[in-house]
Amino acid sequence: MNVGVIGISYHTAPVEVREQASVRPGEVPSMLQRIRAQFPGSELVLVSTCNRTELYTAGIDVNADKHRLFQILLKGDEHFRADELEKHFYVKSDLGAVEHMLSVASSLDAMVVGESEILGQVKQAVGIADEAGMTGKVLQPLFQRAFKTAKRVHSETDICRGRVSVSSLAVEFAEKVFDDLSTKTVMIVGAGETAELALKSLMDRGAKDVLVLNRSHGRGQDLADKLGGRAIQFDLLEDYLARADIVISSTSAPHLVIHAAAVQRAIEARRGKPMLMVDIAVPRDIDPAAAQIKNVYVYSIDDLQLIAAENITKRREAVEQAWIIVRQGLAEISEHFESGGLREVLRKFDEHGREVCESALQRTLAKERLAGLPEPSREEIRELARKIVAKMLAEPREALKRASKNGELDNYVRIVNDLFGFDRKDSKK
Amino acid sequence: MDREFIVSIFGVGCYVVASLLAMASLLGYRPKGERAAITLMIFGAVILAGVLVLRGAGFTAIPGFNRFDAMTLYALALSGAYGIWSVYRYTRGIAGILIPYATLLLLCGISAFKQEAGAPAQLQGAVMMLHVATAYAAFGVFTLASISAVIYLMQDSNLKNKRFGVVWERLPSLESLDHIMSRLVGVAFLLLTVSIVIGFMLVCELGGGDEWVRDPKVVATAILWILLAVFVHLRASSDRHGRGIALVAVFGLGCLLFAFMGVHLVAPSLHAFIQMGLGAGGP
Repeated sequence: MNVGVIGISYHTAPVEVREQASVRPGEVPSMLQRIRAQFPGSELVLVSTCNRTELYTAGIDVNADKHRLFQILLKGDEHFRADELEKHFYVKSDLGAVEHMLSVASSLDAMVVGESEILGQVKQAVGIADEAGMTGKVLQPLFQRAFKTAKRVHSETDICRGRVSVSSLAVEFAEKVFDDLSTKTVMIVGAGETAELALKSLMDRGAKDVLVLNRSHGRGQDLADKLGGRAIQFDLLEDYLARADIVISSTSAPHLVIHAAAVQRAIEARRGKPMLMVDIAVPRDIDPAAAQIKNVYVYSIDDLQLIAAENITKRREAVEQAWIIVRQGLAEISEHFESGGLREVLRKFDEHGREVCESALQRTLAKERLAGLPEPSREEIRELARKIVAKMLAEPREALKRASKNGELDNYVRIVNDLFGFDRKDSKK
Repeated sequence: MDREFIVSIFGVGCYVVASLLAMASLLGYRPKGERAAITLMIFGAVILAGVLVLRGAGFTAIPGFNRFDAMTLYALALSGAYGIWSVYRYTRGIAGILIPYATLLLLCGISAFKQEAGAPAQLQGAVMMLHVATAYAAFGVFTLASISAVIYLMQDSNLKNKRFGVVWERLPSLESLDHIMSRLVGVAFLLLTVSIVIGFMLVCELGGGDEWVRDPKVVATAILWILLAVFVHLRASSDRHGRGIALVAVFGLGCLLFAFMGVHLVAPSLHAFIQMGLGAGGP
């Protein structure tokens, strides 16, 4: 199969090492060209995210050439010694590399198990490599099968079930209260980073009308400009509260910012229309008593983190089932490649037998003392020679087929190549 | 008759299987089973509608006056309302409660299959048929709205009490359910108004008097009509939403069931020709 992977990830390297090896999407084609220049004829795919940088190869002996590849991936940084690199990088070959590929694409190796973003990132990496002409008959079908396996893992197990980040949970709650986010007004109180992320997630789902309230009006205006919302003076919060369908609060105020009485007035003005309030501030901004008001749904950071933890637990429970699917995918890939390898070696076997037989016949039948031999007798000799060769090769052919079924084909192919000199012939051709 | 009974059992069987599928889907055991459940329910509904048509032809009278006919017509009206709503705007999760409810109605009716009952001969006709059809259509449409209200209250309770299980995940958003309630209660109110007006026309045709106004079934239906009018007012004029309005719709379902069946248990009625086999009005 001659497939390999060499890389670093959050499992093996701290961020200061990972950022040395990180490659921006725009730089990937030139990086691949550099590697191809050192390893002509190889196939390459480079996956680089904030959590991992991995180079998938075909046609390179990653174990033998790992130090050269380490240096290329670290862009020749002399700061790291060879033994240091050894501890940060992992190297896997053949089925080990394929298994790693499947687990990464299926998000089993992700920092948050089941976070399906990685599948999109791997697809993007394969797309870039395809465009740069770096993939071929080995990596292309391999990645297609990896995507198929990932799709099965995502659809047949609970590994992606339940959101696990604060921003995605805010969206999930919003979608359980409201049908169409594009007609809803989102109010952001305090321009914190998490609130901004939650707002972005809501906007991705269609929310358009955004009100931003911040103690520093200038900062609120900046965020409003950035996200296409409206900045409102902070002291007008209660006046605007009734207009907001979704409120996300994240100020650093040491006291309550939104009181239950204000929420009660807002919900009366809304005539019972539901209101979702997400409080991600510590200490809390929204009066906990507001949760008792009918048609108001209040969630604090603790609620969100508790749900996230439960969802992570559920995902972990699905991991075993996901690995079964990955192993099935691995077995299919192995079978596919081994059957391809078997066909190839049997073809070489037949070709070799034919060549040996024909050259021996030519030499024998050209001898003077056989010149008078009638054509039927010559044909009988040819037939006899072919039968002897076929008989001699029959047992080794069967042994190869058995080895393929037992998963030992790679070893047998190596021996056969050595014994019959197939590699030497290929290189001469 | 026996053949019709076997076909009816088959139709009810379709509903039973559809119920199991829909509930399994709601509880997350068969997430993609809901559409199959709806298809099976429609198949069962077509079979049962055929049985009712044949029974009407067999009795040479409008079906709808014994327990089997009444329950089947109610279940079919509910299934039809849901089928039409699903074509207009499919809302996931409702089938898990609606189909078992319709199945329960059918199971309540099946034992009265062989009972013969009909309206007085002088009432048989197109006007009576229209009265029955609009009444059942109103019941079906309003029940769908009430089931949405029940689901609204379940989802409200899940969100308030932070129970985020499979059922929470499978049920639709509060806003979708609120939308179904507001749209369908208006339609049910219109249909029930038409049915009541036709009912009065029939009473006039019979030469009936005040005894009809005091008839328990008429009074119970009038209460339901007033409740629907209040609901329509709360939405159309006051633009009320949320839990309160859902509670009104659920209370309305209680009134509907009383007007439809319960009234036969408590007092003799001029509608006694409807033989529900439940009490004072029945055999």
